[in-house]
Formats: sequence, C-alpha cells, structure tokens
Amino acid sequence: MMMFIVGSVTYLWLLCQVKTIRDNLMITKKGYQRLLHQVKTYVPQKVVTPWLTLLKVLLGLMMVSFLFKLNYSNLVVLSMGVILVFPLVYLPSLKAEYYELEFQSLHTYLQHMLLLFKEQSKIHQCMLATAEIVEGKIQQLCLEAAKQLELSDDMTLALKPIEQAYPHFIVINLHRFLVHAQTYGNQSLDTGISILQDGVDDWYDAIYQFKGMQKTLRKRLQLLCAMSLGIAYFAITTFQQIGVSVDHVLYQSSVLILIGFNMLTLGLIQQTKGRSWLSKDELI
Amino acid sequence: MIWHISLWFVVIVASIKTIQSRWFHLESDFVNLCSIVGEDVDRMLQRRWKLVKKWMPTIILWPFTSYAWWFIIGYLLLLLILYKCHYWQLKQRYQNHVQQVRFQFPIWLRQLQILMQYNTVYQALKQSIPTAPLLFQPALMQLVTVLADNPLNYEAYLSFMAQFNIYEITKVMRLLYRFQTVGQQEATRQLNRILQTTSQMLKDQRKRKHEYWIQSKQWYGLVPLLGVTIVFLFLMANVLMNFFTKGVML
Repeated sequence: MMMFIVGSVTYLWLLCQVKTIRDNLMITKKGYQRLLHQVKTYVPQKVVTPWLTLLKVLLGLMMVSFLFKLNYSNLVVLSMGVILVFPLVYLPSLKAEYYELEFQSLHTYLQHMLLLFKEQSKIHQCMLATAEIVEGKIQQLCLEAAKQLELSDDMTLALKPIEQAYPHFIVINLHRFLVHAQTYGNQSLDTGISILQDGVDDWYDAIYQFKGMQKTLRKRLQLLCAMSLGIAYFAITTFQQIGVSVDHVLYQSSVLILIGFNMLTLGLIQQTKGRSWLSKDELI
Repeated sequence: MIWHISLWFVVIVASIKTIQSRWFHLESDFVNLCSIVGEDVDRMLQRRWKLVKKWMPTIILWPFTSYAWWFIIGYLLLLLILYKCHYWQLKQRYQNHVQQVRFQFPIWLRQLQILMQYNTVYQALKQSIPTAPLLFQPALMQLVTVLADNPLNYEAYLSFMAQFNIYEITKVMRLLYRFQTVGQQEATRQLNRILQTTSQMLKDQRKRKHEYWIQSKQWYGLVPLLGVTIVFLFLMANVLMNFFTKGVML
C-alpha cells in the first residue's frame, strides 16, 4: 500500500513537472480560467462544457477499467492522469475548428478578391465587397485595409496588415499583383489572375487532401486502440478460465499499462488536430 | 612486454596517421558541404579532431582486456565513427537544406512569375529579394549583381544555387534565360512552360511533405500493440507459473 501511494504521488509529481501540464491544470481556478480563455479565443461563439467532456472521458475510462477488472487504486491513478492532461487533449479539437474556419475564410478572401478585381479593377471596391462575404479576423482586416485605402494612396501599406496576419506566399503574391495591376494597367490581368487562381486551387486541393489523409490516419489509429483492447479482453477472459488471477499485481500492472498506452495514443491523435492549416514552410 | 609496447605504439601512431591523412579528413564533398551549410572548414576540422583526441586515451583500458584483439578493432572503429560523426551531421544538415530549397524554390518562382507580369526578368528578380526565402537571398543578390552588368549572362543564370545540384532549378533558370532573351510571342510560350513546371514542382513537394508527415505519425500505432504485448507476456508467464506449481486447471 505504501509503495502504491509513493509511486502514485511520484507519478503525479512527475506529470506536474511538465510545464505545459502545470500551466494548463484544469483543477486549479487559474488553470480553468486559462482554459476558458483559450477556448474563447478559438471558438468565441460556441458554448463549451469542458467539465462535461471530462466526465464523459472518465466514465469511459471507468467502463474499460470495470471490464478489465482494474483495481480502484489503479483507476484513481489513471483518472488523475486524465484530469491533469485533459486540457491538452481537449483544446486541439477546438483549435481544429478554428483553423479550418480560418483557412476557409482566407480561401474565400483570395477567391473573391481575384474574381472581383477581374470585374472592377479597383482594390478598394474589391476589399469592401469581400469584407461583406468573409467573416472573422479577415473581415476586420479587410475593413481596416479599405479604410486605409480611403485615407492614403499607398496601397502596399494599406494591405500590409493582412500580409502580417497571413504571411502566406499566395496572399503576398495576390497583393503584389493587385497593386501592380492597379498602378500600371490591365495588360497582363488575365494571365496574372490565371496564375494566382491556379495557385489558390492547387493549395486548396493539397490542404484538403492532406486533411483527408490525417483523418484516415486518426481513424486507423483509433481502430487499432479499440482492437488492442478487444484482443486483450478476449485473451484475458480466455486465460481466466485456466487459472489466471486478476488480483495478481502483474496482471493489474499490465492492464494499467495497456489502458495507459491506449490513452496516450488517443491523446497523441488528438494533438495532431491542433495545428494551423497554413503550413509554416509556405509562410514568408 | 616489448611486443605489447610496440603493438601499442603501432596502433596509436597508425590511428593518428590514418586520421590525420588527407584520405580521411577530406572527404571529396567536405569543403563543398561546409560552404553550403555555412561552416568554416578549418574550424570544422578542428572540431572533428578534438572529438577524436578526447576519446584516444581509452586505449589505456586495453591491458584490462588482456590485450584482446576485439578491443583494438572496437577502439579503431570508435575513433573512425567519432571522426566521421561531424561529417555525417554535415551531410544531414545539407540534406535538410536541399529539402528546404526544393520546397521553397517553386514558392519563390511563383512570386517571380507574378512580378514578371509587369517587370523584366531582371527587375522581377530584384524585386523578389525582400520576400524571397532566406536560403535564396544571398544567391539571388549575387545573381542580381551579375545581371546588372549584363542581363543576358547565361552563366549567371546557370550558376544560381548550382551548389545544391538540383535539376529543377537549372531547368527553370534556363527557361528564365530564354524568357529574357526571346521575343514577346516566344516569351509567352516560355512562361507557360515555367508555369507548368512550377505547378508540378509545388504539387510534388507538398505531396512529399504531407506523406512524410503521415509516415512520421504511423508509429503511434505501435503504442497500443506494445500494451497488448505486455498483457500477453504477463498472461503467458502466469500460465507457465500455474502449470509448474499447480498444473493446468480446466
């Protein structure tokens, strides 16, 4: 018993030594506020209930532990681990929604600017028309740029805030082209727009293809986790009939490792969701 | 005793001589690699030599193995690996640079194509410098400097990033040169060729990068399998223990 308490306390202490976990502790008031703040940053209009999600995860864990006849003490250790790392696993799902919206807004902005410029050939008008279609951060930036264009003739300066917020090479190329086209005339308009349009389409296709690949990988890994639990459960129930004891310390440790490893895999899978859709290599 | 001492002497001298010889310390591409990744050749050599010297005294452990032959082979092998270590690291860094250049080259080319709609090739190259990827900027500045004197300098186009020995770069630079030299109608054809090449390159690089990412995460699948293996090992051990102590209960 003493060994167990010492082991558990050491394990929890070690988990808390990881800075990211320590800073995102949901059980402390500060940590919870921080979590809510982060949630509001990524999904401001969505009502989220982290406690409810945590409760669901804990219920799932309890069910698996019950199936594998895991001791209460080991269940407590696993639950504490889940509670400590929960914000790190919960946030990436919300971030994924945010990044998808961000990508879609940026794509809409690029598409509409190209289409509208072909008809109107004036950045200011295009910007105002695009601001009505897009939403979120890019909308604010478009309105700011339109306002700046009214005040000054320096188009490059007016478009700078958008480039700083989204320093993707396609955005920079578009702005450069628009500024040149408005300054020097429309002689290369069609070719330029065609090049940019191809670039935007290729980018869009590549990103969605990659996201599809990521989704398939995540599903495959989740299936693997479920299958590993299923195989282990089947093996354990079979071996129990020929005298394997579920109270043995080795059995308890091996099941603890099995469930822990599965949870780790699921956590790692979740982590892959929380990356920006704008690849760092393509940013300037 | 004399035999041992002479053997020691031969081994140490041979190690030093071998490592110091030109055959070892100057791999054919060593100087080139150093210049690409921005390392000083002399300092790099000193670093390599320093690491080997640090481990040389381990020879004093030889008598404790009763002058075993495997010790001396292992010792020489260790020195060789330590000496090659920095070179391998250099090669790895070079490979990373090449990957980065391969990925960023079509991105820079896209910028160039947009600028070329309203500028000459020389002007477009010059204007692309501030937003060009960092790896390209020194070579780009050099190219612009040479082209300022003679915009039709074919050699200047071909020598752009030539140290990376990437076929696509040479191909596109040749197309750029042609675009610069030929008339308007032919220029449009050349531009279309460049566009096709760039699109394909960008697609390929993105695909390669995405596939690499997916491959790098595949190992996550081993974690649950490891868990099951541990459970199985325990079950087998438990069955064996039961078998030898109580016999199998059916």
